[in-house]
Amino acid sequence: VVDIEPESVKSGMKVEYTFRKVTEDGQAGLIQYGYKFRPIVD
Amino acid sequence: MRKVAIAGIGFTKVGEPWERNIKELFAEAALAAMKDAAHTEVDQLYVANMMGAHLQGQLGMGALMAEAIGKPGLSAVRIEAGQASGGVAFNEGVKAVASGLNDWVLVGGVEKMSDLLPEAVTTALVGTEEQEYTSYTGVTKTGLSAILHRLYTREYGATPEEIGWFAVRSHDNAVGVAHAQYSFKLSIERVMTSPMEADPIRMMECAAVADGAAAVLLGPAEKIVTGIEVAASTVATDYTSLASRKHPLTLEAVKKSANNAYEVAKVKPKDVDVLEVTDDTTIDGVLSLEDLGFVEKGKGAKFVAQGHTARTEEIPTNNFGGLKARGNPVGATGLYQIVETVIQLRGKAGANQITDAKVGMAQSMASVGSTCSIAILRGV
Repeated sequence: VVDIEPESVKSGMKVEYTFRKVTEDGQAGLIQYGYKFRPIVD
Repeated sequence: MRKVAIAGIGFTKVGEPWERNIKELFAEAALAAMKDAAHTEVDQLYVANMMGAHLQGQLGMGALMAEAIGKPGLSAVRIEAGQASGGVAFNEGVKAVASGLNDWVLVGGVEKMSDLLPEAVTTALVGTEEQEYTSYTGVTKTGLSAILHRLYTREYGATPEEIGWFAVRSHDNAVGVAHAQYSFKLSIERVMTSPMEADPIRMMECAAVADGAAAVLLGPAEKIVTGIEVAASTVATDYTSLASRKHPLTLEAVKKSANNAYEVAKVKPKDVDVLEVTDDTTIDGVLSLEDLGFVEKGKGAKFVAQGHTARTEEIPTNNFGGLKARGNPVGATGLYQIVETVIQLRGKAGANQITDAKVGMAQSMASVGSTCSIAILRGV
């Protein structure tokens, strides 16, 4: 979950998919992307 | 189908023996099983191992272990089903003997986790989760259990302390056990003040890194009288991802394999005298007790905290310390559970003996329940 402080995350909260950087390869510096979730702002 | 007997058992002390390699550990357990059976003829070898391919870079484990026990040329293969490798390999062995295909089958499990640093072991441990969907997020096996822990306390009103009691009970039973990794008592205060491993699961609620090997020699009951018969051996799987399951707090693989085993063995949970369950973390142990049918869903933590799984109580559980205290050399663990059940049914458990143990059950589970194997053994 991204774009929110950890303590504000609540069970049952509505979230949506978002395309984000997941990690970076330490040797070659390749960036790996994937999905994360962010809260839906009304 | 033929009745299958357990002819002999062997095992090493669980620990971190840096001076010994996987071949030596495996050979010690396997040769001990043959010696115990007073039988050295073997038709088939199954080697249970989870992470040797990662940690030792070792493949071809079947041939290597056939060589290790002085039987090059033997039909041999490695069985991998994550942390349930030991139980699943046992199931393959039982099928081979029951079907009449083989008479003498040696099933041995080995794992050596202390060869590498914790990061590598943690990565290997989450290897049974789907790599492209779950593991890549960086979650650990304990992290997945932590999700279940949170859900459990919220849904059923159990307290973290009640769940933590599972570790205390396991340690109680490891005191004086020569082959246990941690044969000391553990107080609930120490559990609940130990560092956070994966919030809300604490370090003293988790099984540690361990090395060890355990083995059994199986044979047809019609050809060998041993006093121990395999009443049932089953395996079931579930969606690997918690998110795909209908109810994450119900371990369907555990329920299914257990119910199939009860049916085959013609026993009910109340007939089971001694039990070994997978307490990789405390919550795994609690959920397992429930889905094996020993206590109603949602009431397992309280059941354990109140002492119903202790040695003299309703269902004596993890009678030599379980994964937490005897230790969890993952691929070998399922076979330690079976070996320990045999010791109980033989009446040779010393101070740990459960009076009149006739029916024993061992549950070997991968990760948060993607695979589960059940063995029900009977003293005859």
